[in-house]
Amino acid sequence: MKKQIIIATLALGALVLGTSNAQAQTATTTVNIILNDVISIDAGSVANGGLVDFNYATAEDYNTTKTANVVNSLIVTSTKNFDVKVKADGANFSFGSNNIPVDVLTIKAATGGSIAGTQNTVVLSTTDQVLIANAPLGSALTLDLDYTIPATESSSSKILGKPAGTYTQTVTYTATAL
Amino acid sequence: MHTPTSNFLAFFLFICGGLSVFAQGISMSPTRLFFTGNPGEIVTEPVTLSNTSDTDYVFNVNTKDWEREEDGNKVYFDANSLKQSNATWISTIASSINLPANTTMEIIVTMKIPADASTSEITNSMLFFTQIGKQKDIAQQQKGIGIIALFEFGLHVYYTPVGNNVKSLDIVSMEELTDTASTTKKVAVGIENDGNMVNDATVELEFTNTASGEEIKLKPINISMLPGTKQVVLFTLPEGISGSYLGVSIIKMAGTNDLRVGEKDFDF
Repeated sequence: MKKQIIIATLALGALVLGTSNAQAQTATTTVNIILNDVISIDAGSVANGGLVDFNYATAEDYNTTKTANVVNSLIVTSTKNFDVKVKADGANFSFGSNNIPVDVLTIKAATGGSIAGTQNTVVLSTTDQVLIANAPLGSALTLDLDYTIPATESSSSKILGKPAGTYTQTVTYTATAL
Repeated sequence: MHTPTSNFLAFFLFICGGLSVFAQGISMSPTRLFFTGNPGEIVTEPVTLSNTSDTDYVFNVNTKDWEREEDGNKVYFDANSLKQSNATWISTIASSINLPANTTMEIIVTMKIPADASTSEITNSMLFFTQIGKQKDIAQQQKGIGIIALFEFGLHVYYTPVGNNVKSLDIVSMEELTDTASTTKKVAVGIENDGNMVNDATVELEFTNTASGEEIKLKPINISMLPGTKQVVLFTLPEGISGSYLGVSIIKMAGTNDLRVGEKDFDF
């Protein structure tokens, strides 16, 4: 019995000492925050395989300036100031062998988006043109766009009198760090 | 019952949820590649493309030359058409990249520095990842004009010779711009990169009314300049500014504590 008491006392002592030792240990963790430059375009952006259509079905359509307001055309996150440029991939909107020059279309930033910077109105061409210059960095910045075909263009021979059909062209938005 | 703790938890989850929604898309990191090495060497740098969306993407890889105009605008040219181009020095393994949904891909950009490359001049180009449209990306209507909107990222590519290590900008002018067609007053700060490295900086401009002591601080403007180039940074002044002011421009260069300060008296 006496022997058992001694063993139990030793075991308890070891447990207490062990616990004390564990409590006395200090762990140090180094936390590194590694920042990398990044630029992203949100999948919700309309400039992401998105489509903008202008329909000319009546005489009034041809004599009216048409504007398509596209909310969230671009949603950009960037850790540096950035530019957005726009260009057409070809000189014409094409339907088979029939063409409408891309300069009938004007693109400009609409009010409502959160992307700042210098905003320009662009008459579409195959040349890279500045839509937004030196936009301040930020997260999930939105750009709403107005696509406009003026009546002066739709009532001109550029559009009026062309064979009926869907004339398409790809417009590419380029995001680059400053 | 809403306790402060449960309210905080709900707010936290809302923020996290919002961020995860915002984060879905295509991202590129870094946004600029800086190569260095000796003539004749082959050097590599990685760039990471991430697709956190549920859509597969295909990108074409292509290069262009570019230079910056004095107003800061980048102008693109055909690859290998400018004197300081390094477009033909760089390559990637593939000319098109498939980026399936919810994947991240590291792309190695290789630069073969020509044996006769300058040991003092920086070269540059832009590497583009251009989204390729899919068959379903067609206009929907039967009569009219359809626009298919795609996007691309431009990745700056710089080569800096090993011996280039001077970061320096200089303020060369401070002028009020007069525009008779507008009542808005502007001040242009002219800056020159007289070092031999790419230099990122923040340009500040503030005015102190010499009579009243009133101070006007304008919003700083970020710039990035190649060596040997000049840039004019435009500041729009507040409507109705009038009187004698001391204008002070401060340039804070990234990666150094050096400042450049310019002063000039203005009568608006």
